[in-house]
Formats: sequence, structure tokens, C-alpha cells
Amino acid sequence: MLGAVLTLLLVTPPPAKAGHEIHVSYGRVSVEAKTVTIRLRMFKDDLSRALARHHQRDTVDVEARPLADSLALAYLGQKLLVSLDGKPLVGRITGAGSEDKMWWYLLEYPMAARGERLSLANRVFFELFENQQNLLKVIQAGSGEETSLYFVPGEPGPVVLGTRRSALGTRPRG
Amino acid sequence: MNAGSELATYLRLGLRHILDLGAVDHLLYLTIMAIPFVWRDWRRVVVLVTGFTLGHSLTLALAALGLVRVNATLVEALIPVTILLTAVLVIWRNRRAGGALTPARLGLSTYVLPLGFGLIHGLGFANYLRSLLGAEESILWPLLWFNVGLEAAQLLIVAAVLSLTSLVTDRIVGRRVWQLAIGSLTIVWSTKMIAERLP
Repeated sequence: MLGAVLTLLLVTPPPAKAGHEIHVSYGRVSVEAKTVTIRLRMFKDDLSRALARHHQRDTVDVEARPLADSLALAYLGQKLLVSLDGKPLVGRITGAGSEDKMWWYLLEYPMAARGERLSLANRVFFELFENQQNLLKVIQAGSGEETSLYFVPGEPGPVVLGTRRSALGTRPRG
Repeated sequence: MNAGSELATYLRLGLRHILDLGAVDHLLYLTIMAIPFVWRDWRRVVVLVTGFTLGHSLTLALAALGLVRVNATLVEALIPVTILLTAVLVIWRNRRAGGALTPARLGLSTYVLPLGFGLIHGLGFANYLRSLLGAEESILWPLLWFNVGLEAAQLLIVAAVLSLTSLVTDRIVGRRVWQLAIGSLTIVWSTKMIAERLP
């Protein structure tokens, strides 16, 4: 009996990757008077794979800027959703870089008008990994109020935040 | 600050870090650690899990304060080594005892090792959070809530292992066969992990 059980277990193949496959991203969102700024950190290999798949390329080197930036901006435009009072905000990449296995983008979303409700959803890599987790930490520049948001494929959002008028346009400008 | 949303976020991150099927390493360690026990030994298992938690909490805290910084690749390779050693110990003791391991046959090392191994797993958790958040973010509160999530997940896992052990050893195979089988499987999988993670 023991021999049979051991034999059965030893021929059982381990999981395809028996390690610890972590799929997570983190974004720091700063809501200021005229802009929303997001510093988004992701695993570099996940980003490269997502961009290649999204743009139907064999590979994408995320460090090959500015080409990779334009590919990433198109991808993030569909996955990282930012809107104010129901109107989508269009972002642009103002910075990028790597730290060890991570890659970060600094994105700016200009706001033309005042708003009351900021809507956020971070669905990056949901199409690649069922266990992807995306965190956003939102900081209201005016009040300093902080909120942490959590997105997973089963709960993709968006999350609507009530914004403070002081943080979104009623403060003196200039 | 909306502390509730931060708590909920990092609690869930910690829970999923252990319960995620992609996280075979921590799951396997908890399984092999709890395999000599059945439900009536639950107090001893709580001591084991608490020792493991104390170990990884200590290194998490040291990393949060910036007092410890260890090569992430080395830590990732050491984690499956702790799993392999625990599995080898289970099988070796089982064969030496000539019967199923029971708490009475376990030595002091059974309770001390999880504390030491927890130190290594904690460095892995800390490297994970530091990579994710970046150097400019404070990781003190995220670490605390993440750790609470880890602890809750660990207790769920060992509860599942104790239940499965009771079920299997009551109805399918004896305790000794069960321990040898899980020990052998753990040796195979942890060896594969070590090979994958060697620099």
C-alpha cells in the first residue's frame, strides 16, 4: 500500500511553475487642483508580456523608449481608467524607469473642469493572470485624505470617490 | 487617512499571498509542518504556527525599519530549502520511530525550527512588499495589516490540513503512510523549486 501511494505521488507532476508566482501592481494616485497624477509600479516581465499580447508583437522591450511608452500608453488607456463626473480623462506619460524587477510610469491626467466624482479602475494584466491584484493609493492633495483601493479580476471596479471641491478646483489657481 | 480601506486592502493582500494557488511554497511549508498532527493536537499546532509567525514578524519588522536588507534571490532560494528540510525531518523521524509520528515522538526541534524558518519566510514577505511599494512609501502599516492577513490564512491552511489528515487517516490509509506520502511529495516539489530559484 505504501509503495503504491508513494509511486503515485512521485509521478504526480508538480505545478507547471512550482514557485511563488506573484502578480500585483501598485499605484499612487495624487489628486490635485488641475491634474490627477499616477505613479504606477508593475513587474517588468508582466508589462512586457501584456504589451506584446495587446499589440500582437512577438516581444516588447519596455526599456526601448519612446516606442515602448507609446505602446504602454495605448494599453493603459484601456486598462487604467480615470474619469471625472463620467467623462474619461486622457493621460500622458511624463516619466518612466526601473527598480530591480519593477517598472514604473508616471502618468498625468489633466482636468479641464471642476468635478465632484472621480472614478478609478485599474485592470492591468487581468487578461493575463487570474490572480492579478492591483492596488491604488489615492491621496487628495487639498485635504491630505488617503484611500486605498483594491482591484482583482472578480471585482474590477470602477470605484467612484467623492472628491473635495477644495481639491478639485475651488482652491485659488495660480 | 482612511485607515479602514488600507487595512482591508493589505489584509486581503496577505490572505491571498498564502491562499493563492500560485503560492505553493508557503502552502507547502504549512502543510508539511502540520502533517504529524490531528485535530486533538490543535494546541500544539497553534504553538507551531505562532512560532512561525513570530519568526516572520520579526524579520518583517526589521525590514520595515530598514535594519535588514537581504538579497532577494538568495531568500527566494532559501524558502524551499526550509520546506525540504522539514519534509526530510518528517520522513527520517517516521522511519526511525518505525511508526506514524505523533506529538509524543516529536523533539524540541519541531517547535524551534518554525521560528527559525519563519525568519527566512519573513524576509521573502518583506522583499515582496518593498518591491511592490518602492523605497519612497512607508511600509509599516501595510506590513502590519499584511501580516494579520498572513496569520489568518495560515490558520485556515493548517485547519484544512488537520481536517484532511483526520479524514484520510480514518478512512483511507494509516497515519504513517499518509505522512510518508505527503513528505515524499513535498521533497519532490521543494527540490524542483530550489532548482528553479538557484541563481
